[in-house]
Amino acid sequence: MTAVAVQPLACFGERRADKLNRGFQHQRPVSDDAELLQRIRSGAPEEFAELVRRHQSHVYAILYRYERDHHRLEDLAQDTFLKAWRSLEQFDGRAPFQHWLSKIAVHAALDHLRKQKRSQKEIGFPELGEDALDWLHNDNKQSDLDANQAREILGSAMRKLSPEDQLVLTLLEIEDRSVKEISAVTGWTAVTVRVRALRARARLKKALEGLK
Amino acid sequence: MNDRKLTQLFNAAKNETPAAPNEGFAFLVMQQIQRNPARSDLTVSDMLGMWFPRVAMVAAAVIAICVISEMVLASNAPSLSESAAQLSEPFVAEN
Repeated sequence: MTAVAVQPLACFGERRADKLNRGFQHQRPVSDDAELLQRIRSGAPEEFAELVRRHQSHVYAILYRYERDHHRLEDLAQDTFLKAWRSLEQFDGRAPFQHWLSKIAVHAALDHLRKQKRSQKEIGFPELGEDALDWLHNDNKQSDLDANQAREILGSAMRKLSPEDQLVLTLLEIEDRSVKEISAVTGWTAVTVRVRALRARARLKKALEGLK
Repeated sequence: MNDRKLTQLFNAAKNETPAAPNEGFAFLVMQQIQRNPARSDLTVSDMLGMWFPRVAMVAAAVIAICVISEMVLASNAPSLSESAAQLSEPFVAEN
């Protein structure tokens, strides 16, 4: 965990930097996201910090499914908020701000998986323990596996899939999102989501069987 | 690999508590924004995306005006069958 010293943000001018620092020191009066966005658009960029504070846990919860390393996760979350900041003009307020942010986070995750896939070819896969492999390949073994080992197995098999397959399985099977929700965050049609999920599940099974 | 085992793996992932952001995370984001405050680096496609509903409505309105004016003009002008009949009249009379 890195401690962060709160310093004035020069780009927002002294007055705004003061306001921002005060915002970090005490609780601001509660207003809804639409009101905050209105203030940001009317020339108070420091209000974006409040939006970040409100939605950071949600963004972390989405991205944690795709990146476990804390530093890389932090970079990914920062990148998500930065993209949100840059395209704030495109947010029309028809859907809640969190839905719009989720969409950006999911796309950031997909980009991240694609980059990871390219570098994976050079790095290779981590090896699984003997217990995990025994449980995996022995159908008679009905005992429950340790949760950490189970996550390790799933992670190893998922990394063998394409970024799109990983995404659809994570959203559908782990996050329990509906096909309609997945369609909304990914921009894929409902039919594409269903077909992709079905094929991804089959490929995951194959990948699990092939784990050594 | 049976479905029961697959469900077990998914459940393990489902029950995992996600990592929480550091206390100063919002400040780090604001620092990033400070380094690059430009908010609207809009590309041509972004601009088109933003303007799409308005451009589409204007285009639809222009098409509607054209269709209506064509219909009005056509209602005053003689129909095609009448014109054809008029043209063929002398030939019919000759024969």
